[in-house]
Amino acid sequence: MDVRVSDRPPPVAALPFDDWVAARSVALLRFAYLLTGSQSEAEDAVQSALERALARWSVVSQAKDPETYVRRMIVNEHISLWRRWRRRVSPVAVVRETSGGAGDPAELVAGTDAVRRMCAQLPPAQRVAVVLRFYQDLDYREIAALLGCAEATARSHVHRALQALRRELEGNGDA
Amino acid sequence: MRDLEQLLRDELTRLAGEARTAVPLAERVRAARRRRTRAWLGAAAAAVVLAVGGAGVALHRVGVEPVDSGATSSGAATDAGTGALLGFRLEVWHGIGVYVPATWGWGGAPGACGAMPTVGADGHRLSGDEVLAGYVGRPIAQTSHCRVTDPTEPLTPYVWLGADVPVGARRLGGGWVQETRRVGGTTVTVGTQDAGERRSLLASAHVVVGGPCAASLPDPPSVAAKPSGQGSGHFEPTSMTVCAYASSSSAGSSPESSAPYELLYEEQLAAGPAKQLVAAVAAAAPMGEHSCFGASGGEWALLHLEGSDGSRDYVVDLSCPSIADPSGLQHELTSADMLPWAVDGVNAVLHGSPLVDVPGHLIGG
Repeated sequence: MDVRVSDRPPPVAALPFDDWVAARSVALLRFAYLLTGSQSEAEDAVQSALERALARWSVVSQAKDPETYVRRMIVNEHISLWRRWRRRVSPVAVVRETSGGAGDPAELVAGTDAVRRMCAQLPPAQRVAVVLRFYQDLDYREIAALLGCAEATARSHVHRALQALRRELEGNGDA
Repeated sequence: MRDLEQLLRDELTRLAGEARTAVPLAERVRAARRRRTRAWLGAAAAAVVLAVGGAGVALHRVGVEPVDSGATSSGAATDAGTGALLGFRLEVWHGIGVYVPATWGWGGAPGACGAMPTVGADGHRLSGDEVLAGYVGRPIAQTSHCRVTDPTEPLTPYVWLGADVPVGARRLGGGWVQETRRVGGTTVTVGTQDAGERRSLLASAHVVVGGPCAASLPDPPSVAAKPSGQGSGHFEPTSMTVCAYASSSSAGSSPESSAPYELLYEEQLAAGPAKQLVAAVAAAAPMGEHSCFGASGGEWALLHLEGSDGSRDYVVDLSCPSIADPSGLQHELTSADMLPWAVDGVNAVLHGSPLVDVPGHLIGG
């Protein structure tokens, strides 16, 4: 299924795999970090997606936007992993990793804290929808295509996430 | 609403900046692909050996769907060669369950002597040079001699439950990564070269509720005061749940443990082993009630049988040693009434009794 390319970087001409990864790894890692909330999970998710891309690089590299293809694999793996175990899974306590470069937590504005807490508590599908909408700037049709759901469902995911953010801010007295 | 959307955009961009991006991804991807290629070639070669040798392998799955655990092993090449087959089983420790491949064996974990695989997927004790597809380790002593080992380049993938290791991820060299998370009140550790496998195993960790095996007991397990069901006298079992306990002082007790007896292992078996147990205990010489008067401490097994006519409990006291039938009458513990339930991972968590000769079973065997 083709995904319309909006205002993302123009596709790079078919590069060798290593060169392409060097050019896009930063963006992919940041994207995966927002999806998973964990540095180690982000690295694993990107690595897994790139392994599959490498196996088909002769085809992937010729696509209009290989990065969209890889991002889709990252999203799919993140969602399928959750779906695989969700019937047997109670929410698992994931170690929240702190970045050495984030500075003193006391200096974080209330908004950052609220967004961080909201993202950590969102179900995976809502979290993915939020990241795709407000970090990747995809429209709802593209989000629905990536999540494999109806466009109305994608809108609902985003709407609920915004409600959750409002509740977090109201809880801090910042409404 | 528009302000919220802009807030989200700004803060997601800020959060994304927290990610560490100096990661040699291309290098890792190529290294993983080389390892996968070598593993496929090795498995293909082992499959050829199997086909030529005519060896048969029976795998079993336990947990949700009880199956007969009469599996046989055909050695090291078998485990490695069948690592790609499907099927998972549930492993539980301190109320936390993790799904692992059914082809994996059992062993120890940091926190007790012998953080290594010791039991194959079919319950047999490993010989010196056998290699498994993977194993589940618990902090239960596997050997009386502790060795200080350098945790680099493991030989086989593993899941450790309740291991005494710090939370976080560490690279062990050779592409091996060990990651530990705290789930509930215990740790779940996965060590593997396969990032996808590691993620999947860690993601399967969940809280387990219910079932006949209590996570801890203040006193040794005992048979139910009154067996459930019609009490028609003829009991036809359909399944047997094995709950293995040890006193906290002898087991790898966790700081959270406050009761004297900890659940070390649980497994559900099918009708076959249950019927074998009933017949073997009925044939074993009675020792009379209270033969092990005042028994405390040591290792115990609660065998909970479900049948068409309700449920029945048998209780094994490995220190005595004896096995109590549902009426509370203690019988002699023999190899015949141990073999039906001392299977699979039980052999990696209980040391057994030197008074009962069951070669190849239990740690002390």
